[in-house]
Amino acid sequence: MAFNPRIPVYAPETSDDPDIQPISAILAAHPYAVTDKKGRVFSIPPAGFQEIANPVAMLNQPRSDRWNSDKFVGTFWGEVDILPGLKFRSSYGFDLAFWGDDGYEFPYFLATQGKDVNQSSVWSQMNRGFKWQVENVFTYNKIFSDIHNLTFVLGQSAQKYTYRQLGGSDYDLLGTDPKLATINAATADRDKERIYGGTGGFDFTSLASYFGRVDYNYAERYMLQATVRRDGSSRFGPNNKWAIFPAVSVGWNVLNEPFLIDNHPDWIEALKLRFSWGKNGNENIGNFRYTSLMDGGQNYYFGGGYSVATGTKTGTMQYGTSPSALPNPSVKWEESEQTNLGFDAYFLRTALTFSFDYFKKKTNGMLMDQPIPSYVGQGAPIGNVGNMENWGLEFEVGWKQVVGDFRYNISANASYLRNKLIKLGTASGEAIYETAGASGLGSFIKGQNGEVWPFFYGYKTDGIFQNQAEVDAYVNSKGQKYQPKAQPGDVRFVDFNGDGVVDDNDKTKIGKGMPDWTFGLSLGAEWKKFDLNLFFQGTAGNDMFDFSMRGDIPAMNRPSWMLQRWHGEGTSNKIPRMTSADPNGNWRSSDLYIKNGSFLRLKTAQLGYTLPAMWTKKIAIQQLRIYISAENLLTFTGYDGFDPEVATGDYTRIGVDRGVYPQSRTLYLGANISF
Amino acid sequence: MKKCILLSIITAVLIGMLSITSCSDDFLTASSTEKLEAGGTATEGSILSNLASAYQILLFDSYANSNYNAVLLMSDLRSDDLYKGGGSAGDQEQLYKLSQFTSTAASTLDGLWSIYFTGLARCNNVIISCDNAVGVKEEKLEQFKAEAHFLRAYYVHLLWKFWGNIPYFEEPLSDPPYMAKQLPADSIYNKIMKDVDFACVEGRLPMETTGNDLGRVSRAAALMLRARVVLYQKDESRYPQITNDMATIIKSGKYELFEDFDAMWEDENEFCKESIFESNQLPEGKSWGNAWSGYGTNLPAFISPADLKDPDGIFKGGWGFGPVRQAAYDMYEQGDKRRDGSINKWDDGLYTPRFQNTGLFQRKYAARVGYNPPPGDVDLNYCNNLRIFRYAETLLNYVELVKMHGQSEVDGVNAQACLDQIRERAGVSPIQATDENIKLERRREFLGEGMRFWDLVRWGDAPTVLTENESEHNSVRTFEEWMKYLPIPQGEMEKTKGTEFELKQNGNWK
Repeated sequence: MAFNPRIPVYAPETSDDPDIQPISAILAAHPYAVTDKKGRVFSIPPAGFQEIANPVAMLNQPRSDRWNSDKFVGTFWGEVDILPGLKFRSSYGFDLAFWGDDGYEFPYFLATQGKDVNQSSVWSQMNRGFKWQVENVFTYNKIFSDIHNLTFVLGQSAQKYTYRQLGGSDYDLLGTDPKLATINAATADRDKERIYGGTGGFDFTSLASYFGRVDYNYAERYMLQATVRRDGSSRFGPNNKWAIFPAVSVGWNVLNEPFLIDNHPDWIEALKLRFSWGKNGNENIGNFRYTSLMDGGQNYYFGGGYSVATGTKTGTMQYGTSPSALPNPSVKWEESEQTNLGFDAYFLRTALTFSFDYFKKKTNGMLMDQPIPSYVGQGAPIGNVGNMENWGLEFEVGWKQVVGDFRYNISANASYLRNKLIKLGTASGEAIYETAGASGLGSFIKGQNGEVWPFFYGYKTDGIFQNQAEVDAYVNSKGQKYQPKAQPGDVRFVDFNGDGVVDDNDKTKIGKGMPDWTFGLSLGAEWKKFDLNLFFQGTAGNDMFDFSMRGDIPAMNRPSWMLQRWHGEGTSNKIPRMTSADPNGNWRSSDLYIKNGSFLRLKTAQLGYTLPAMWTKKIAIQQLRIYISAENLLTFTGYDGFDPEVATGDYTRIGVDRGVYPQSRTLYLGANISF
Repeated sequence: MKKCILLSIITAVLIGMLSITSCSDDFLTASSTEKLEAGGTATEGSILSNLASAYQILLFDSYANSNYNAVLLMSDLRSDDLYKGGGSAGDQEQLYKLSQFTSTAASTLDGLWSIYFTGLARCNNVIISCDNAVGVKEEKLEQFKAEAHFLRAYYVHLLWKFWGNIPYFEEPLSDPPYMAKQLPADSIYNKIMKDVDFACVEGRLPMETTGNDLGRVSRAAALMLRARVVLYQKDESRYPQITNDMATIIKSGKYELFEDFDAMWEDENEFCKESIFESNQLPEGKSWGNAWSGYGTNLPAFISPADLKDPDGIFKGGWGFGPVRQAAYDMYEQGDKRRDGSINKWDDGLYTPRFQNTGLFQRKYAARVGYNPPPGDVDLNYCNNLRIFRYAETLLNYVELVKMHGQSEVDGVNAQACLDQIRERAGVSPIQATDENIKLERRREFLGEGMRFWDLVRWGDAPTVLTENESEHNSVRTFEEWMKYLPIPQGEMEKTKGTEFELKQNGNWK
């Protein structure tokens, strides 16, 4: 069992161990204890496990949440040839989506803290989102003297999104049949019913653009494209709705030069050099961040509260509001400026292809919540605060060949990325993004000017104190002990800044979650009626912050590497002793949490066989292919957590493993049939 | 073919017209359908809703980031009345460190800090909206302002007692770098006094609030806050004033001691005649996902013994934090009703002992059956109102000011008689109002109400009383004067680092 190896998944009939409660005791104390479909009662955690529950029981929780969605998408367009070479195209697209959720929960007991529900409940909601988009474009194309190909484009587009929602919930279902778990079959007091609805807090969001483009192509030899667009967004305040974004690109087909066209070696087919420069915008923030709205629901009761004797409210609620996040009226479009330099080459009648790109991207005025102190007492304002620089290299190589019945192709790509935070926009040039105080970890993710963004932050360690003499010998230049509370088996933390004390000022960069290299390799082969496809994916140069262990609960199950901990002189110089008191703070953020996160994974593999047509045609089937395929079949990694490809959500948490559910390995058996 | 062309021209023109309208700035100006913009003119309704959000801070004792920071318990954990308890030393480790005077910037009361600074910001907003009022009667406006000034003084006085030297502001910090200057504790004291003096002016607030106004701030509450702040600052120049304030409350006849000390803590006796100010908790609305909402308190669950099986079916189990020390149990005289009214003594086998167990648990705010009905996250939603000021404190403040600090008695209010009232209600015989007896009486009266530690600090007794070597209860600690201020949270220090607003850490904390 994942929460404690001594506790069985199912509760036993009898038990002598006070930590393992038998069925009868569980049911007596918790009549809503979770059972499986056959009625077998799951074990409950012993005292001290707080909110941590039996994970198998959690899978059998009597609860359901079913999402539904319907979508209608369409485009209408018309095109007119006004003059020779001059066209006008107008289009209108829409996306109408309905989605909702129906759920219920019957009483259950999983854990004393927060997972003890003794009242049934039911909820439903319906949402409607409607987006339309129009685009009007004039295009003029003319070829002069057969070799000058010139195109002008001038256009405009606009889009608008509206949303509305209605939902409700109620308590006390009439029966225990999930079919009857609907709001109309719930019977709780009027007071406990909830309805909600609205338009998502905004009447619409909209975007508008004007754009122009010139394309020039000289004899398939030189190519030039220049674009200018002016974009406007409803997400910015009155003076900052619009921004202008230019871009230019040029290309040179080297082998199309007259002196080379009939004059180059056979093994090379084509060579194209590319250069581009452009600016892009990002407006992906919430609505109304330029102003401060009043948040509601901060209510208080006057004239009385709640009467336990009668179970009713005796007072009157005064609706409460206060300003939400701080406003930033000058927030505007985020701009990124990107330069690309690259080439494509084709060899051996395109059997071998190779391409290379170098890019450099500077993002100016990154839209981020500004890291303000919490004493401000309001949410953080958003701002165009950061400047960031990324540069990278991209390589792609492909090979294909046919040998008799056997044909195969290989393509591989690799990209290298370097990231640097130029300016965070705070006076200190630093910001802490993640802190876990309750578990003794402290702050552990940070951003800092001139460094990769973000990085893992903590102490450097220097092994384990093997005996008291080593603790006593770890002194600064004045002979004072660095870690007077340490005992043999505790971690030796490094006085990184050399100021004679080990304190928070010694925390430094200890790793980063973003990989240096990401790569992919795909292999395809066919032989007679068989086909095989493999796709590998991997990263290198990234670290994991392995925070999958709950530091604040001593009796909690630990990862197996805990077995290699220090338990006497010479037993370990890396993993500290087990202690519930932990006077030395062994598990504060340090490089002990950092693990190499590089991996190579066979993401997908598929083997197929196409049945001979002469068999299948008899049953009116043109083609019948059966296949077996797998996802995440093999993983090569040194990481000892659940999954190096951990899903972390927020970008600032990249590489942080909180022990979330790993990706599953999936096997499929399937068929493609065409009639 | 021709028809097709015609049709497409018509379509194109129609769509073209649609899009011409769409490119003005109007098209890009969305508005909110749910919320007002901040900072505009304020009607009575909007001032009242701003004021409610300022009151709402009274309901918060836990915070989404796993910080259970009930202010009463946070005050008492450093006293000689309680231990930290809970699952182990590491369970809510920052609270254990708090109780051992070994807090660090990384492990301090982040929740409490955020809660009361949010209170400060919300009160500022109420006062600003009062300045922008339209169509509100002057007399009402005065009352709203006085309530907001009281609440601001109350929240800031908590920050001031816990941290001393804190940043302070009266306008939203809406300009970069969004920070305020840190002021020394003595300047903060002056700010608090300015607010509390505003609320104390006669005529702004009624001496007691009743009926539909039950739960609102009264003048008595403002006078009580003034006394608490002045006593903690040991500002002797103000002693005559607060002595008179206490006498004013006593002579007003609006308050008296509630006869049954034990029953006072039950639901039906909330807002009883002894209560001068309390938080108004309801058993709903707070959730693990959003602790910044709702009306319940987690304190009863937090301080009740784990897996309790009360044979009388009155009390419920909880998480086992804050067990009461044996010495605190033993301080009561024979027959003192306050002992069994303040402390639950549970026999072995009725509950699961946890860290620093003594078998003694706090009773006033203990989890009781029926006080947290479902639905919702019931552990977070007890309806126990937290008593902030009660008349017993008025009496004991008066006794202390007269007998310990040599203030002259106000006509018609006899200090010894005040002490006698307290003793009589507790069912014990009168004692003389000596310094020692006054101190002991306050300890007996207010166990679990977040008073003891602050009293020890202001009497100068803290270093001797709180320094101890009780290894059998995992409490080996040394208190020094500078430790009365907690470390400022590390995140706050780091965010201000390198700015002109850089926070200076308190004392010798790291």
